[in-house]
Amino acid sequence: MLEKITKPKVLIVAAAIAGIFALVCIVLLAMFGWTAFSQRGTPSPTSEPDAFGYCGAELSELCVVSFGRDAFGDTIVNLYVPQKTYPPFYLNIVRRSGEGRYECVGNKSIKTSFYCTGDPINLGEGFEIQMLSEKDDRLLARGTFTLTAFLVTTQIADGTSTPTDTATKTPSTTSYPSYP
Amino acid sequence: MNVLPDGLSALAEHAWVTFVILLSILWGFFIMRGLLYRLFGDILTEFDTLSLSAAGWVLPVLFLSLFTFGLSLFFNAMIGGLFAAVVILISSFIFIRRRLDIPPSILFAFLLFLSIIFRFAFLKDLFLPSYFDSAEHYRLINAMTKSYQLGFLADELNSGFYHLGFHYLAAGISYFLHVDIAEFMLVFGQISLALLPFPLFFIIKRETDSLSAAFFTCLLAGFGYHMPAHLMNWGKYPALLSLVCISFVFSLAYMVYRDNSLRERKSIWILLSFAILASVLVHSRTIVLYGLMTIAAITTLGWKHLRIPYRLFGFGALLLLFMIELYTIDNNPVLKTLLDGYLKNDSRILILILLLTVISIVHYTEPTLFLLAWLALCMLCLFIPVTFPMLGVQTLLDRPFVQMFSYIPLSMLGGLGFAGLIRMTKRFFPDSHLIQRFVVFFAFGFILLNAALHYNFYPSNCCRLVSRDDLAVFTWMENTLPPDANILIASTGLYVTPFETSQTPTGVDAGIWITPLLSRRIALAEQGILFDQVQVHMDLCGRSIGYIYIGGLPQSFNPLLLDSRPEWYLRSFALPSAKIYQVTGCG
Repeated sequence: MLEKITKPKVLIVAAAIAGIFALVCIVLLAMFGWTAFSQRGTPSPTSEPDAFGYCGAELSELCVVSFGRDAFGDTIVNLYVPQKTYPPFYLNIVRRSGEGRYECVGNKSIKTSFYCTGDPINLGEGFEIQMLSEKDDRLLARGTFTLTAFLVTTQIADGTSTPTDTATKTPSTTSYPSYP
Repeated sequence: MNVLPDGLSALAEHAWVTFVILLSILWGFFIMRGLLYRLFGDILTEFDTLSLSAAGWVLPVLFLSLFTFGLSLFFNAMIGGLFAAVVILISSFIFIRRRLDIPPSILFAFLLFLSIIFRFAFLKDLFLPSYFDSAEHYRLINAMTKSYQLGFLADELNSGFYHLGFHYLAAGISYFLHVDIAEFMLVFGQISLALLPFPLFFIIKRETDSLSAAFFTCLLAGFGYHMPAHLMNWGKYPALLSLVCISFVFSLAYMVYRDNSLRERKSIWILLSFAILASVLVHSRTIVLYGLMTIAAITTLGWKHLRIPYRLFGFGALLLLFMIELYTIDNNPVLKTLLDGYLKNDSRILILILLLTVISIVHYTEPTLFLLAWLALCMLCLFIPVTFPMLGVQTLLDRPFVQMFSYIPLSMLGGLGFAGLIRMTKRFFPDSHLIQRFVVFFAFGFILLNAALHYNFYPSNCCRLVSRDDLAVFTWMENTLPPDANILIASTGLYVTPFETSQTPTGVDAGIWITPLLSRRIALAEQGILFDQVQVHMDLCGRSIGYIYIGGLPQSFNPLLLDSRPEWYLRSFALPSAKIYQVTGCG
């Protein structure tokens, strides 16, 4: 079959492949262009430290997903961290009783999920969370929180978030249909 | 409306994987286009080949993945990869030769790109595929990529696997092009969804000779019903790919049925055989569908030769069968979801389809009868039990399958009816182009408006099993738990047919991802298990269950029961929507 391919046909094939490649490159460039455009507002590690709070319905900036406890009674801070925006970091939590370092671990598969653990924080306590660079202790972001409960972010219709107490949550036993 | 920016943002986030998958599909697409031109020559228009290739790309990509996998196991992955590269180069030289007809191609590319952007809105903030099926598909693809590395079949595959086609294809692309499996599944699903409406263009265009009706069918198939997009909420990736195959097989079978003028009938049969083989490899149940398609076609042929009174009687009998089936399905708790899915989500479109079907019966009686018969036979299969040695009593088709497939005949009925409507307006208002155009704009506008106001482009809450808290617990488990840890997760019985006596247990929360992502063993228990009972604790100890995972969904285990027995269950890591307990006090 190959011998049937004449020189002009080879040129057509080459042109077609080049055309497809060019098209794909254009699409790719457009995508990367959009990435750059859409990330214009995301935190830059060299500028002023960013402010952060609880996560809302849409995750696009650094935020706290929830607080929890481990077996030793230590506090867990579950964070959403936008991809490729922060260098390796740890948390410094400033309380009235002093400061404490919280070591952070990232999920290997989902790069935006981190949790940090450290000293127990009491309910009702106000504190500041500082995100610091592991390399040079540079302040990357900070946020002020009050631990009124071990919170979960509930998504509501208007896109804002409402922290609600789940301590008394009782799972319902309604039947769960297959492939709803 | 945030769909467009969300879609673009997700597209940017998954740019590399999108590029890789599009490139693979484009290769298959152009190979199929070249092959179709070789077989059918100028009988097919550019629109026809683009439409057919939008489904036919699966064949080259799937068979290349299959051979590459086989060679990689027989020799090694490098030889398998070299083979694939050589095949891609040579086949490109042989088949990608014919010049594209620019206007249809640009229109096709534009519509596809727009459709991809809309579909990608689904991926915004979705970090793992939905529901429990996807976890199993992830595990199998992962085992196959491991087989590429090892040079022999990984142990995980020895315990049996199904829906080979999708997993071969995914593993091949994922391994050789270094794509994360979860991301591959997410992106591949949305690109396949974007492509799905195009293959229906071919049959409607050929049958009605109306471009408007053909595009209308595509629009209905794309954004008219909750299916096929809802499949992504179920994580049924092989089923989605099988829909692409079904469209291709159906189109080829249509050519065999209709076009006696085709010069290469033997070649079409060969291509059709390969298409059916690919389809069955992707999803075994499609073979039943093709059997029903044949019965429906034969019935239609037979019906055509009847005298008019008998024809009317035949049509009436079919409609009666339809009514009985709908009534029975509606009164069956397991099957009811099939009707509810369409009635709750697509009621407006269904009313339109009902009206268009009446017109279709008048103007395109034969194809309408075929489509109705095919759909009625599919629904009938929900009630025909078959016993399989390993699986017990099943039915020829299950409820999710019929639900996902129904959009194809419904869209085509809409397309045929719309073509009939155009004919009617031309007949009644031969001089008024304004009215003729109004009908077209009204029909397209109705679907578009309905999509803009009611179509759900985002993941449904029903099926998102994994929250960000689950991810944090997974991270902790990966770093802390021993590799041989045995973890209990909540499960429930799976009902997809009316005959299932022994429930098929399946995970109901994020716990289902523990084995695929963390390679830890899981054990299943009914969600209502009473952890505070002595017998239950003893049973857990006896089964060597070391940990209990609790997700944040209503169907997850009740953590209060474990908290009430701190001497038996130690809360190791707890976030509001995900917790892991260690089973203690086993003595």
